[in-house]
Amino acid sequence: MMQGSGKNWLRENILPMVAVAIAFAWIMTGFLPSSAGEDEWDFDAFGRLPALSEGRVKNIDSLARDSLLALQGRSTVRLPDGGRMGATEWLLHLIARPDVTDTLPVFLVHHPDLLAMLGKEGESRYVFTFNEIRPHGGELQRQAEMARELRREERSIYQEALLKLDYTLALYWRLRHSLHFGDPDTLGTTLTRHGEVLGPILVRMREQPTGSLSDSDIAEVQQAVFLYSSFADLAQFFPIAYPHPEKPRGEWISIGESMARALDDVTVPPHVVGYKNIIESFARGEAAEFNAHVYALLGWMRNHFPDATNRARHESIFNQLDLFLKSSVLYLAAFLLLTGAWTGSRLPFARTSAALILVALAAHTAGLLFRMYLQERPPVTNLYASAIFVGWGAVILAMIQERIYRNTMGSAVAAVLGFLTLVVAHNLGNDGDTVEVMRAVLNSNFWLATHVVVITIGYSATFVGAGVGAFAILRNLFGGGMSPAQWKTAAGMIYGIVCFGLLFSFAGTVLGGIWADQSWGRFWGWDPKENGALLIVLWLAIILHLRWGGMIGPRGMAVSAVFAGVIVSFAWFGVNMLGVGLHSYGFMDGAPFWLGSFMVSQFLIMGAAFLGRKP
Amino acid sequence: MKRNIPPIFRALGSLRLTVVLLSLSMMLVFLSTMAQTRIGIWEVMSTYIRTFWVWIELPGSGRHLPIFPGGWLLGALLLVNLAAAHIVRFSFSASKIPMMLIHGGIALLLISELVTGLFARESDMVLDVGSSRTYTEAPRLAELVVVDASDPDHDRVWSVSESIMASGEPIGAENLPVRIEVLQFYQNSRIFVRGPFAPRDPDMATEGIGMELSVAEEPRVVTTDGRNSVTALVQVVGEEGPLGRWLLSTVIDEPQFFEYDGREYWMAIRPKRFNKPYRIHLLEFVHDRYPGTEIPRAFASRIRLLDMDSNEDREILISMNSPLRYRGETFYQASYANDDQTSILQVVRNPGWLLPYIGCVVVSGGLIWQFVLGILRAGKRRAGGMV
Repeated sequence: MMQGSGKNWLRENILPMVAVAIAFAWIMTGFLPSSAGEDEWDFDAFGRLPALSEGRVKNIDSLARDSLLALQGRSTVRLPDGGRMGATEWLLHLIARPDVTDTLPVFLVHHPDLLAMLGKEGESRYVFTFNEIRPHGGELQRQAEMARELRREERSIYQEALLKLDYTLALYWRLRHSLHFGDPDTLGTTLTRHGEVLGPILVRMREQPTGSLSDSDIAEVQQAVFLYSSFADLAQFFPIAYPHPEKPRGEWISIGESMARALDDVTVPPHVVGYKNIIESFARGEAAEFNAHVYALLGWMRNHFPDATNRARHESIFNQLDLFLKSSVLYLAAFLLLTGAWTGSRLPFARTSAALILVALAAHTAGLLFRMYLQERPPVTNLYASAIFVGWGAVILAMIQERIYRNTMGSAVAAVLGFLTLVVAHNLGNDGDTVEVMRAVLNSNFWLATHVVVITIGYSATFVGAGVGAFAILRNLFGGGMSPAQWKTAAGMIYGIVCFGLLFSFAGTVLGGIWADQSWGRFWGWDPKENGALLIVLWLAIILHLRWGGMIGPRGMAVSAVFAGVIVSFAWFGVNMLGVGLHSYGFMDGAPFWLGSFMVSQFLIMGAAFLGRKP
Repeated sequence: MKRNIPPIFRALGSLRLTVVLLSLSMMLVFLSTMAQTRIGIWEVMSTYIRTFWVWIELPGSGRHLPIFPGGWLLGALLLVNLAAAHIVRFSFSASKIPMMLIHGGIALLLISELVTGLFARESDMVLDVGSSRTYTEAPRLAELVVVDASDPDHDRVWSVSESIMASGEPIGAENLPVRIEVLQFYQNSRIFVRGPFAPRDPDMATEGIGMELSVAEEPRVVTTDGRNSVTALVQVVGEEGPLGRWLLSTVIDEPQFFEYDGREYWMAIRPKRFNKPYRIHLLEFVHDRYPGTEIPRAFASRIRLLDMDSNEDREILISMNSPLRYRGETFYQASYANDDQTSILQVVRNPGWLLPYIGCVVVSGGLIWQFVLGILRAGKRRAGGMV
């Protein structure tokens, strides 16, 4: 590249360099600190506080986002005036100013019969406020209890929708009562009472265990025990940490349980007081005071629980960077640039596109590694993570092909697969926490790192083959036809990636068999997920035998590769929708439609191979 | 080297046949996957995989037709095709070794699945904390047992499998002084207490709890976790004639007694037992959950193994992904029950358990060899093209 004149070099590289610089700068904006002024609310700082929820220590921001995702499938709240409220800010309102959040739409209801029950049929919206649902709460609960008695497969779609709404109402209610004892000001009043009324009783109890208490003293203690334990049961998350000899990140409990412990210790731990100050200053509308209390609590936590606090801060950074969203946008931009290259423009669009894909890949990689660090797990732990990883592997494999063949096919496949898989991941992540804890049988980093990763790379490779096949077919039809040499190249690309895919699919399937033999004594159980993997292996083997026997030419290779993509989509998502098997770890609503659409589109592309110029 | 090969061999070893067989296998796997939305895994295995043909019943006529080749047939044909192909097409050379490894390993995998289908045995050991067991139970198989309990030191047990019960033949055994006749047999049934005004069926049980019960036939259970309630009405016949009729069932827990010739016997139908020459004692069951959730993080059984034959007495921890292999059997932590007071171990005897491991290593070695070879060749071609 460097032999040309400096002018040529500039023409070749200035556009890619500018694009890379812009993309990089855009990614880095995520690091910009939030600039909360003297009397502006520093919600981000509050969001950095650590708490335990769903089995792991996370930051309050993640907790709030995941809760909103579970409620309404999106992580911000739409305000009536068209503006938006961030997740942390919403959670703070829910706890300290429930009168505000009760009028904000966060409950997603789609089922027409359920809408009718709420008296909302015929309205052109699907998200409702707590106050709108509250009058129907009794009826809702009655029906939900009846539905709960049925087994899952016996329930109707209406009953499933009903139970989902019932669950989200409970989640809302639990979140709302996670930091106080009924109303926002009750944390303060309870603490005061604990100090002034209970304190002397408790001291007396400790010094003279018998005979020192009056009936009213005993009633006071009993009332406290009841209050504390009821709210300990109600809490959705656990913000209070205690040092623990075996748990380096501390033992995390709810405010209620912490107060119950204070019945023994007499004194209330300082972070409970910290939360009291935060809630009260927020409710009073004192921004500066609120910020000061948040900073003080953050500092205290950092001193006493540095590991948990740091991880929570890192998770905040991860949320703020939003790397997967940014890389999906960059993949899309790269694809658009490629269409510029195909129009025959003399500008170095192809180079720019490839450069952008590499930046996107860097962001994608960083996101993947960051997730692994947060979860302390190998990259693929659930369906969401598998989508991220399949896309990542596919982009790398396709870019290796681009490096070898330099015909923009690899770039095109990389950009499209990178973008699509991240969109899929985004939609899979709309259910809640994507960094979830692993059930016992999956709780093995060794097998997650080997079987799951290897089989997922097999998916990536097969999708790259399908992408190249689809690209060749479409280009032949719409892009002015493919020359025999171009067909030959495409077939060669497919052949290479099919071999690679077969190697990984086979190895991954076998590793899965070994894992199964290790955990439940069956190397092969004809479980749907296993069968899906076997189907991929069989089909890739068929492609190779067809080619070796001279039974298919380049066009046949392209069609077969596209079909391989259909099979992977079945093995990846389809079998989970059958709702059977030990493996159906990701049940999804609405997804069957998208999977079906994808398959139909692929069959159309396969059919299109027989139109247009013959190779 | 051109060999003289009969055309039938050429046809059997042809690539076209390979493609056809692999395609049929794909369809079979797909069909058996979809079938699992209707019927359980065990039923799918026996009707699709571990069979020569997939049969369907013609509606109304009760006749069965084979509509698709089953797993055993396809597996056998693939093996024939593979063997013939190597005889017909492959000459021995170094570059062919990886392909031979791949195909040899795949043959081994097919054979291992056959061995598993024929010889593997799965049973459960259900252990309460602090108790021990000397046998495992096969939850999907039933047996009829007659036990002579008159010797306080050890019981004498005669047992009969489900298929013999179903055959209706009179059951006798050496040293068993009575004959058992199975008058009625239900592979699956519903048992209920006879209503207060329903007359006693004169053909039903004349002895034991069965006198108060009625039984109705139920369709055989085909779901994965479903269990059949195996029930039989049996008549015990001694030298002098019948002693009476008893209703035995897997859902009747209590054994039912009779006396003959001064000795006391009891009978029952229960999950089939496999006795072990050793004893396993559950010391502790650990069930660890993620804090603040009901999601299990790990479960494990700490057991004590007592084997007087081999003078072994040791403690072992069996946990998820970490089984105990002992005397040709493997003990896995499968499940738990009874508020964490009961641990359920799955016990698998599979004489072919090592075969898939060997097969996998062979195939993987071949695939990697072939793949590296391919890359090297492509590299050479590329380098050659540039010169």
